[in-house]
Amino acid sequence: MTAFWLELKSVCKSYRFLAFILVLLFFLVLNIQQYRTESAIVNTKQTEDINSFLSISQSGLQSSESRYESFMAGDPLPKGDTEERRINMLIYCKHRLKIAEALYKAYYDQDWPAYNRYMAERALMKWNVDVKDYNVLSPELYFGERWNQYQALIEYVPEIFYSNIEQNTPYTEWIIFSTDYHLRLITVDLPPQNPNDTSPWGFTFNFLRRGLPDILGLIVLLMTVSLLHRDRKTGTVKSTLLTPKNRSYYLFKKTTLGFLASILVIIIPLLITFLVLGINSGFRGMESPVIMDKGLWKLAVVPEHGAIAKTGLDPSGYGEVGMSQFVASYGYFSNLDRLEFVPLWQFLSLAAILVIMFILFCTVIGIFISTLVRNEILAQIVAVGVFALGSSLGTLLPGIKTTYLDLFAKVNAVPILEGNHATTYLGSLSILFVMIIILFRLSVLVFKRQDICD
Amino acid sequence: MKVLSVGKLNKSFGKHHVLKDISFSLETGEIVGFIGPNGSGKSTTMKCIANLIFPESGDIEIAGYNLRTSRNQALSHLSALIESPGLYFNLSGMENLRLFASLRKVTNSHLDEVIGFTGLGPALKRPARSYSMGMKQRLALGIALLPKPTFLILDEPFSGLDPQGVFELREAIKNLAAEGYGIIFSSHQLLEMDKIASRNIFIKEGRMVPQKQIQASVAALNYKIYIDREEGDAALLDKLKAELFLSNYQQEDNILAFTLTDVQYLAPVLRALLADGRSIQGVVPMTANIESLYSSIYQGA
Repeated sequence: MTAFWLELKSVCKSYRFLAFILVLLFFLVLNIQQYRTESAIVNTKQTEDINSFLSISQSGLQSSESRYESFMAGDPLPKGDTEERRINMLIYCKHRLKIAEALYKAYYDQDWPAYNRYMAERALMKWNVDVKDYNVLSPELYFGERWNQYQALIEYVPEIFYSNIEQNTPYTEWIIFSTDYHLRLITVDLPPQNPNDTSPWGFTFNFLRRGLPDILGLIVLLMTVSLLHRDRKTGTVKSTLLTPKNRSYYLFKKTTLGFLASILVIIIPLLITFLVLGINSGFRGMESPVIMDKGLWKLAVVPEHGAIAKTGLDPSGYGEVGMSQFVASYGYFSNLDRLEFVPLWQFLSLAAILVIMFILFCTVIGIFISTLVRNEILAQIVAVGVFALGSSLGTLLPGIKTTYLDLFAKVNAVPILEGNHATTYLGSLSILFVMIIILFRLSVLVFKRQDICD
Repeated sequence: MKVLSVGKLNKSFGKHHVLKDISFSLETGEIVGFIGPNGSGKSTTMKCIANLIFPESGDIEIAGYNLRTSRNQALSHLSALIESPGLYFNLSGMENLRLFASLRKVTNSHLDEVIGFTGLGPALKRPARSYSMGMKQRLALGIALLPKPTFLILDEPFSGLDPQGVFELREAIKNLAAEGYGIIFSSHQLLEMDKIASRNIFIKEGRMVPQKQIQASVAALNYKIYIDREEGDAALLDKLKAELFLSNYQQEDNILAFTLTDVQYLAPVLRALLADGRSIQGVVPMTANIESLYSSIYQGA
């Protein structure tokens, strides 16, 4: 092991290693800047939403009151309208204004527990309008035992509903997930998050979805493809192969070195960013609820993707709750069967396993290329080519996009765990594992027959 | 005891047949010099023995173990310094020694011996990249000595060393042989090789130069005869070439110098010259040193 750690130390002391860390750090800073810019836009929209909700609620109540007064003054009811309907509408509008005012205050006071409570109550009002029409799904049924706990935190008036009052609501699932999300946030006492979140945990999640996949494969390939060539250049390949250790051992050691060095190249800048962001905004947030394929944490269920097959992965059909995205299944309700909220740390743990497996996969590709191509510069060009081809395979051959064959898409741990790829989490892990074994065996086959002439 | 046996080694790179039936052996305590110009096949032979290059045919046995069938046992008896020093330049000299020591499971006491052998002292704490070529060579040689092998391959071990370094390394190689190591080494510093090698193997265009040819070259170098140049030189030379196996000649101003293919022709040649009425300016005995032998074999001189 001494030899291994010393070799790792040697790799970590190279300029290339430092350069990759700096590149990734630069990339991270760019992403933070971008997220902050986008976050300002999201905040503006959120403010507009809160303001307009209050204003609609105020005008809605005025209108409802005047219509009710007109009815009490003896004016004839329009066709299809009833006294009960007008009374219900008045009660509904009063309740809605109460929530809107409380939400408005909580938002501007940045009182996030209150904000989450009123956002949950606002969403729960829609259950009576939208959810009930689609399915006999009540909060009691959906939340199960948790509902008793939630009821103590919020005010829920099941009688208050007025059908057809808001027909332009987004997906039914979104209403349900949104309610669930805000109720969970109350219990963990956290502010709401969005896909541009720059809190340390939120940024890690968002960077995993939006930033890291673009660059990860390339960094690992370029990092590992040079390992063998560096040994050839310095002559250490000869010194090492002169020992009684066989060539498979040498390649295994190089693969492990490349893998660990790549992990360090990624972890070090991420950790620096995490700490800096945490010092600025606190380290809380690992309990944030995010959507994930049901049962994955316990590895008890291999999720099924009926919903994805039906929607055909149309990005325009994505619903967004907090930092999570899900492919809407429209009226099928299948998302409610296949998705669940889990704490962010559980999601990130599983995502880390997939990303680590992907890093190992890229490491093995890098080693394989370096056994085949003896010239270092040419090997790096080939590595860039492999990365470009692998990453764009889904675009070149749309039939395999995000399926099991789309190997470089396996780096998208977040959408895979959310069930937004036509491949499962366990399936992705398995295919990567098989490819790692095959590529490593091929590298050994080539290397064992190779003359070390350098 | 035989520590190395190489039999009919053949190797091609594409269409280029670089090793042709190379066969030799090495005994314990023997130092064999590998001589040949660049591209003659010295390094390729050494790499074949070190299992870095795979020959198409031929057998290599190290300490009785066949390299093809018992690779690990065979390599456990071998250590080598081939071409570049093969160091981790980002690590210190000491870390390099510790790294290779752990690969060979070397004891601490032997590691201390090797540290002493390198003579690098406090410099061992510095990164290897800051070393001079000579220091790198010493460190690499130390690494080669870590496993206490039965025999050593040293390819160009003198390269980059200053005169003091060359002297020290020469003594070190001699001492190692005295301790029982079999050593094969190559160098372009022929005089240094001559000082320490028990015998030399000459390789020319991938083939070992036959012992007969080497002996002939040695014999041809026995005497050089100088005579005054005259008009009838051409006829005289033709006669001597035909009858007395004159090998070659040089014209230097008014002097004609020629050498013999064998010392046995010295007396007849002198007699023939005197009979022709020539005045002999000198007969100089030639020492068959390695440099003249080298030029005789590789330049046809």
